[in-house]
Amino acid sequence: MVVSVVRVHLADDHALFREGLASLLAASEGVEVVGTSPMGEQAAERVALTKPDVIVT
Amino acid sequence: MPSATRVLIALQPSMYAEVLAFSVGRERPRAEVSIWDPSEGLEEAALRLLPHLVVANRVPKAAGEDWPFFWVEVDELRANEGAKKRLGARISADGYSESVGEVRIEHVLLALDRAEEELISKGPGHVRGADRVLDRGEGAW
Repeated sequence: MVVSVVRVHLADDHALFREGLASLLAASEGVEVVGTSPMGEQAAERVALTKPDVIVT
Repeated sequence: MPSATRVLIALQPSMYAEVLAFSVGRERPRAEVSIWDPSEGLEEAALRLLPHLVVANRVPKAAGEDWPFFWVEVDELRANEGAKKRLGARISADGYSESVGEVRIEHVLLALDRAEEELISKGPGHVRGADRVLDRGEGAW
């Protein structure tokens, strides 16, 4: 059986929320947090590198 | 065995409270974490729940006179301010306070650990005024 994992990047300016949401999603089956960053250029750079399936902003 | 550390979280937006509560519960599974709507009498909630740590946008410091607790006061987000790049906070633990420009989960966990050490292990009578604000200027946070 092929188990698909959704690769997620979290982009939010507030570290408290970003870290908390990353922790919550990382505990969810079928979700892999491949990156977190503030909004803006850093997010664009990280997304270009990791090529996530979903970007949460 | 010492009692569990009680954490009261009253933040807006509620999403912030929920993810913080999850993270604290995950990192410190022995802690009892409560989420409270800040519009519903936080001071009364503090006196009822007797938390060791309060994380809120506006901490009811007067409640600390009856029941000493440590606190993390997180900047409020207001809709008419637009996107706020950094979310600062003021932290008070064991009679000292510190401001941080960007509050992180680890700041809350550090305050929680101090609350457990000072308020539970040593007892509330040990605390040098848990809700008092003093300028220390050290980089402990």
